[in-house]
Amino acid sequence: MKQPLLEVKNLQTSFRTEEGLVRAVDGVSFSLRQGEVLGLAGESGCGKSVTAYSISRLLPMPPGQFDGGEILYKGRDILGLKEEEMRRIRGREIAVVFQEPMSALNPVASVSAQIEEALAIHTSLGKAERKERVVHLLARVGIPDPAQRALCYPHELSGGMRQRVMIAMAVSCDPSLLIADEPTTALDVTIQAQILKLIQDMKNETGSAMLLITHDLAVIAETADRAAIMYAGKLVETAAVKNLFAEPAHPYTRGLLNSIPVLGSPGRKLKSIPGRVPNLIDLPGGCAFANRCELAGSRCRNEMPRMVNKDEGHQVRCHLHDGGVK
Amino acid sequence: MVADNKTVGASPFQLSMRRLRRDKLGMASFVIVLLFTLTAVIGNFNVFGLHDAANSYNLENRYVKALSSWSHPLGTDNFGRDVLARAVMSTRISLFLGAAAGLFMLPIAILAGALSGYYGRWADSIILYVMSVIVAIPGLLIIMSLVQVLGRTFFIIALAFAITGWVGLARVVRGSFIQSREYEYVLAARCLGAGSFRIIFRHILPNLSHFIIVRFVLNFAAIIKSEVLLAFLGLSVLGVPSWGNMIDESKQELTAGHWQNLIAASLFMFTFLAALNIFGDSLRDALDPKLKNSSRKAGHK
Repeated sequence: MKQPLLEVKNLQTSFRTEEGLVRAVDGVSFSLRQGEVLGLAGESGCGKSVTAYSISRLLPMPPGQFDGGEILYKGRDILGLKEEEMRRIRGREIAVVFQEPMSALNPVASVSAQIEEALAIHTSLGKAERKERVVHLLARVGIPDPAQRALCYPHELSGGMRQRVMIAMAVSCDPSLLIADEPTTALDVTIQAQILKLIQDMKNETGSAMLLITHDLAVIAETADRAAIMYAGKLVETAAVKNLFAEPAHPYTRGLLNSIPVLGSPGRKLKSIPGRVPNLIDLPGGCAFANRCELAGSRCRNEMPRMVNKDEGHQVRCHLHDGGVK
Repeated sequence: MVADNKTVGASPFQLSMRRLRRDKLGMASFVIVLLFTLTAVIGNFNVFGLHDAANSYNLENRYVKALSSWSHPLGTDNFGRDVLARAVMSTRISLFLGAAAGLFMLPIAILAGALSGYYGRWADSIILYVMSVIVAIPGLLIIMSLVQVLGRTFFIIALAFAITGWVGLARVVRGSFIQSREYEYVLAARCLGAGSFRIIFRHILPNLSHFIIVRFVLNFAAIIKSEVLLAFLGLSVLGVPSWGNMIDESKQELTAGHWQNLIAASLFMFTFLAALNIFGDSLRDALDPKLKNSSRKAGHK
């Protein structure tokens, strides 16, 4: 089998705060092959964004710190790279699409200047060639009248347009790995589908792999090949998207799926997961989800469950699948 | 569809300039500032014989009363020099000193503010320490000692103003950098592989340009006031007419009923400073319209 493009092994990222050490990412492992889309889902504060920013090494350090693990990108450990080496990777190899297209564009620079920037940093193209490529990129992300739009400033564009510009920026150097951090959360529902489709098209055109971070399982169902569910800094379930939706194994995953409305079944009450995400500073000794779990037994409160193989490619961190909860 | 070419592709700065052009009071004061600038430039040459009239002694003709003759509309002073000509010629030193000191301090302030705000940690500690030391000593004291020791030349005085004046601007720049480095577009730029240098100068600094421009204009007015004070104390550039000199001279003349020096100098200074301040305010309103709206709303309550 080919070497995976990205391999995250037992990643541990934490933040030093006044209250104590927050273990935002605690032993996360996954891998991503060329051209694959991995959806990383979970509630706010579960560590999914921190995972993404760890991969691009964009966390402010301090207060952030890596406590262990490896992130292998094309076989090289990213965590050991110097800042200069990392800079050559960012934008060219690993690109990020941000959640807020409103604030992720510089208000005083024109669209063309901002897209051009990555090209200016990473390629030896001349100014005229760069301008040409910017117009080409804008056309590719579906912006009408690209030559004219390139001269616009962010305040002259709608939210959807800005997100298209962000995507153009991200794919400008044909990155091998695209990290999309809730790319559709800030957009109108009507635009969301278009942008998702665009991100997929871009991914297919450039043949890049994608790490899609979202709290919206529908987005994952729509876009991803595999899904990983995170809870309180740990992965609780990974599976092919088909399997995950057909037979969710972890009670948390089931809870998430139950909280999505289903079209055509009026009168069905939406279930919410009781309780709150535990404080990451002092996690309970056993399973972090135990106090919200209907099926939890005494073992759950005392012993941290292991990640076990349920089926081929379907892993779950739950005592239910590893000898029972009692 | 791109229907309106005027609004498409207009940078925030261009939009601001459009707002500024609609501000009548602001534009009027801008014209006055321009006239003073023109006067200052003209002051370098002996146009209309102004230079001679302001500097040549004529002891036969001392203390001509103001409004009494066409050749000396505002009268003459103790040495028979034309008061109006001296007031006009004084514009030169004020304006050039304000500009030079401002230009000297701009790079210091921006660099210091950017480095301490962006990098934080030890860079911040060192720069903050230097700033605190400078602020702890009264500015005028530093200026006076520098001028006394190094000489009363234009260059030294401008430098002295820059050395004492950069701290205020640097603090503002530092604060803005601390705020800006957390913005998502800075993160996005880092994501594209941009280095710190590029982020500081290409991403954050352009977003602060409105701050810096407004501070520069208001700072200009402050330096002109300080120069007048310095000249009043007899420490400004030697042998050049200055509003401060004129007011200093009038100290003794007033009791004898010769008020032309005081009136002429004060009038010119007041007009220039008022125009400069009003223009500075208009500029701020144009560059930062949110600020204007919020202050108006607060005013109506």
